[in-house]
Parts: sequence; structure tokens; C-alpha cells
Amino acid sequence: MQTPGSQPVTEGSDQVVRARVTMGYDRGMHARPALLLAQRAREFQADVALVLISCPVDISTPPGTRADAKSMLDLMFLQAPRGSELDVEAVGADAEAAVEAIEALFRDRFGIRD
Amino acid sequence: MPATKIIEHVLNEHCIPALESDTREAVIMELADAFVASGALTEEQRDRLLVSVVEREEAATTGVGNGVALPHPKTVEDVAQLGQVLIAVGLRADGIDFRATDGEPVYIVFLVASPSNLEYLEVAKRIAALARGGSRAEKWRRVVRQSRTAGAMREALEDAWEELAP
Repeated sequence: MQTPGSQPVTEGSDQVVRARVTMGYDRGMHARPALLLAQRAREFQADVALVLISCPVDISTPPGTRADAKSMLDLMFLQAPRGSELDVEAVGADAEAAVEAIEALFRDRFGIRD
Repeated sequence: MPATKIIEHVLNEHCIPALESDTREAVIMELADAFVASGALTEEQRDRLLVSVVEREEAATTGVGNGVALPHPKTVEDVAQLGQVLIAVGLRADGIDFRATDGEPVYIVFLVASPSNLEYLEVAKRIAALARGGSRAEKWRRVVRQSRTAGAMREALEDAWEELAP
């Protein structure tokens, strides 16, 4: 479902931690997963972003669109239907932990069971 | 890109510039009634829609912040019999308690019934664009809220989406 493990990548002076995740939740970036993601991302000091990499179906949001992972509304803008690939990117002191937490949420399909 | 623009799913008959209801459930009902009044839904379809929307709302608020909410059914299967996306929009000047994520009252409510999840995501994107932070979205929310007729609401939404999320 997703590439395991986050990889620190040095870009300029900022250490960007990045991991590829796949939208496994059936309904894509609905309000609820967006809210759960934003709440989790806000637990960290690091700047956390989600970048839409690819989407298996035709949507109006182009690949490369970046969203502030701490903003539910920004995340909804990505649409990200099931099967979309996204990069989680974080910069800051706790960037690695932030990326791991977001990866875990995707892996768990946001913990939504209905 | 979607074949049709989202605004084409917003009909004047489904725009209510001054909602009579002031509670979350009653507002959802008032908007769903607009679908029946226009002939878009039968009473039976409305009832099924209502159960699903209220159930979804109880699981987690769709009040996404900045005075905007987008109640919708729990699953697209609950409205699978619809031929197309239906969107009803209601305004309430003094706000509605939607238990929104930011704790603020909701002034613009979009009831979205989409038989297709992909189309729902397209609609939700436009509504998110209107609800986002920043002065441009704020300006358009103000324009929408100041609309006094259904036609003016629809025009304001069309212009807003053209600028914020074409």
C-alpha cells in the first residue's frame, strides 16, 4: 500500500523528511480524514505538507499540488481519491516523528471503520 | 477535469437566501425539502437522504470552519439512485450551531447529495476553497452571505468558484 519507512533528504540547509503514502480509504480525502490528518499534524512543531503525486482517475487537482497538512480545508482541496499517491513532507525538529505519525494514519485508513 | 462545472448542479430552486430553521437538523431538513419541492427527489428519497446525512453528521461535524458546512450522506450508496449531483445551499444571517471544527456558527450550508464519490470530491474541493483562510475566500464568503435572492446566491457562487477553484 505504501513505501515503508521515511527517508531524510537534505535540501539546502533544511532537512526534509519525506515518505510516499497511498490513499487506501475508499472515499478519498473527505472532510473526516482531512480533519483527522490535520489534528494529527498539529501535534507536531514541524511544518508538514502533503503533495499529490499521482491519481488513478481524472480529477481537477493537478499532480504537484501541495497542501498544508495542518489545514483540513487545504487537505480537502487535494481530493485524493482512493489509490492516489501522496508525499508527506516535514521540516523541523520533530519532522521524522510527524511523518511517521501521518504514515501510520494512512496505513490505518484514518481509523474510520464505517 | 470534470465534464460539467459544479455550479451547474446548483439550481435556483435549491438556493435559500434566508433559512427559516435555526438548528442543524432542521436546516438539513429544510434544504432537503427544497429537493422535493423542485421535483428532484421524491419524499421517500428525501427521507432516505435525511437519515444518512444526519447519521453522518452525528459521527463527525461537517462544519469545516469559517462559517461553512457541507452535510452529506454517510455513503454514496445511500443516494445511488440519484441520476446526478444535487446541491442545496442555505444562508442564515445569525448563524447555526453546527458544532463546527472551529467552534464558530455556520452561515452558509451546502447539502450535497452525490451518487458518485469522485463528483463529491470535486464539490467538496470547491466548498473547501470557499471556506479556506485568506482574504480572497473571505471576500467571497461575504459576497455569498450578502445575497438576498436565490439568483444572486447562485451568481455569487459561480463567480467565487471561478476565482477560487475553477
